[in-house]
Amino acid sequence: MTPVSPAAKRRFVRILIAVTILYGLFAAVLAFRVVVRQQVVRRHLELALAHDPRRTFASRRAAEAAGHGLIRQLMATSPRNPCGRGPAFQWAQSKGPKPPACTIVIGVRHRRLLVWAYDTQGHRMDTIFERLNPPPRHLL
Amino acid sequence: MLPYPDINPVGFHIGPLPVHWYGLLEIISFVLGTLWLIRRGRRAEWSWTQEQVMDLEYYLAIGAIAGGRVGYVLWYDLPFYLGHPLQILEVWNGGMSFHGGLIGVILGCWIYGRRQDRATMAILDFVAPAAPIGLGLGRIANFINDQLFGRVSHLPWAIVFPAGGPQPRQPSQIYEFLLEGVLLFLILILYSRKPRPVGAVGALFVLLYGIFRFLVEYTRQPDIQLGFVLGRLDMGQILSLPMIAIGSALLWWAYRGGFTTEPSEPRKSAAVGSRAPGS
Repeated sequence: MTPVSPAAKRRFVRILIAVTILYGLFAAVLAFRVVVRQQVVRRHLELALAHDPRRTFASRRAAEAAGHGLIRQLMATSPRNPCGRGPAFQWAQSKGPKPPACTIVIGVRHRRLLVWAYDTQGHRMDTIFERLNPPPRHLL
Repeated sequence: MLPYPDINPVGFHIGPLPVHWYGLLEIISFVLGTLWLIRRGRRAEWSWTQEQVMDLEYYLAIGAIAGGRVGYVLWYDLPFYLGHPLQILEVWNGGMSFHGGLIGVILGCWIYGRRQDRATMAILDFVAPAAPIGLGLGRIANFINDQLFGRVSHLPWAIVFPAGGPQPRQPSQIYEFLLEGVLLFLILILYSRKPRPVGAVGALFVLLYGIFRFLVEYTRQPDIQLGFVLGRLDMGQILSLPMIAIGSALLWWAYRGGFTTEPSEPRKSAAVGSRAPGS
């Protein structure tokens, strides 16, 4: 095997350092972007959970009316979806595509309102865990 | 489903001072790692005195803490710390990143090597097998501290962690203890028993840690302020991907003889820089 020249050794080390720094910056920018958006989603979820009456309605229709009223109320205060697609809050659809990322969904099950959320990557969030760990009031 | 062993995070008191298991395990791992390195350093192929090991540990500890904290700030919660910069210094409130700590340790080895005329990769080869001691005990400390638990699961060995709500979760700290602690330690010990090219042991640590961490993250609850960051990947996986690539590149380069040391290097007797893989 041919010995590695000192110039090749230096080049290898420089490439490694450059790759590490560039990747580190990429990860930092990615994390910053995600944390800022996720903070908004978490605040929206916290708002929805705070307004969630958590009681059983007399009928499914009454629960749906309360849910639609809640969405109108929440949309009046926070209409913008932080991921930029669709509204921030929406009514649960039994059919149709999955709600876009950063959306809070409100639906009815067994005459009770149900609130759940989709994170910045469009994955369903752990609502119970979010209830236990509310987001900080202010990031920046 | 298994019950959570409700261990008091406070191990004992020294007078009015509570001693937490977390801090105690960190100190134990540091002492064990140091003693083990002192013993390892006595072997002829390494030639490290006790004083040199203690001196190196100082650089490693500073590098690990500073790098770990900077990494956490940069990659896990930068917007928060931009708004609360003084809290960056509050390391006792938690928030350390392994990947940042690793960069800090490498920098520490580089600075130490410059001062003591030792090659950085040779120092990393020397310390790498000791790292899983701290990593493993750190995961046990996470388990006792009821933190960094796994995702919701209904596996027979899932555990209800008090801080995670009423749902059973994967005991991901135990997986990490077994992989990043026990298995990684055994592999590195066995691998470094024979003379290897300079840089190969350190490279194997980087590669295997990257693989193990990437896999275990699939069971771990993502940090709440981040969630998933790129598709189904969380930040631990995003940061472990380059470890797999760089670890592979380092291993290949080590076997090419790219890290062979100067004749003045004390470890030269252990280095077989130009040996072919598997030989």
